[in-house]
Amino acid sequence: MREPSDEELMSAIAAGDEAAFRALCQRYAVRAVAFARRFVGNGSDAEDIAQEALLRVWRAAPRWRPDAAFGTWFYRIVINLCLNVRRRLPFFGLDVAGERADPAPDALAVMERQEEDRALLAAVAALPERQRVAILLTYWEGFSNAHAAEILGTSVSGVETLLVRARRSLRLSLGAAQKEGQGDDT
Amino acid sequence: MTREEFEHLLIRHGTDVALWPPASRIAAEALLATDVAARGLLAGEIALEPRLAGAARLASEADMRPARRVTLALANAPLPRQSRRHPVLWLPDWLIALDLRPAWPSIAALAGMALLGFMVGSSDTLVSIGPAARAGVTTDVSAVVFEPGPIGEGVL
Repeated sequence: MREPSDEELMSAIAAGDEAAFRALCQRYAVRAVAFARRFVGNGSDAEDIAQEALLRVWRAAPRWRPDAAFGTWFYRIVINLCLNVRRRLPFFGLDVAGERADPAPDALAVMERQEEDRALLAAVAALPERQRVAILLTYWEGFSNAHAAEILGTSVSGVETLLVRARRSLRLSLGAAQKEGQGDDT
Repeated sequence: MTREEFEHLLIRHGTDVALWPPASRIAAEALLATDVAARGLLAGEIALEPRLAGAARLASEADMRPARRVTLALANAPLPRQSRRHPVLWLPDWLIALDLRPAWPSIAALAGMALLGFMVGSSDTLVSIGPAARAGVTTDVSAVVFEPGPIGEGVL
């Protein structure tokens, strides 16, 4: 049987269908948690953000207009909630790196990878908000530049400019971190 | 092709220049042949690519657990009433436009207002002053401001 599309689920949710809402939650909770955790750097806040974003979807469903894809609208809600939390709280970098899904050959390699991941996440966390959102949407969520532009309400070239600046900053900060690491080794 | 254009095309087409559209590829290869900084830029991007891709695969299990808690919480708690009021503004769009807009238009507007204020304050051509008022303005105001007032005898 064909899975209902997000838009079909939203039509059912707009009519008060709780089962449709739960199906949508199954589909989007992990994406919301993942995005929020990488944006705010804090697991418990990410959970709160995901829950609140989904509740907003439920509350606003009767008013939802399918002008854009549901995912686009949903990410906008999540980003707005993340921005509110970020203004309230500092970034907690250590919570974000977590563990890799794929097993590493040995403990040292795992530690090195985790260290690299932490450095990258800290560098991403230090980016200005717009650049950070552009990086998270394109590299973490795997959206095209066009889709990221739609979510951010800007043009594709605007997203490209954000990505150019973000990657320039990442190259600089990660290069500096690597040099520091090499300096520590010697 | 400038280095700036090359950097934009790296974002658009990826780090494998051989796969770029022919016109861009030829121009990029010409730039890479002559510009050391462009070669450094490409090397930096090639090094960054797997790190970003690796981080994208990070911690899927770490996200699954809290996501399950969220779906469970939403499944067990009674859902709030749905809002059927038609919004005046499409709030999420409006909020995100406000939150993530570039800072420069606000800064430019502020600078413009400051400049306008300075011009109005420093120019008497923008403000019409009558002859009587102008005479008042040209009198020595320092005397008015700084002349000490008479001290009453009772004070001393």
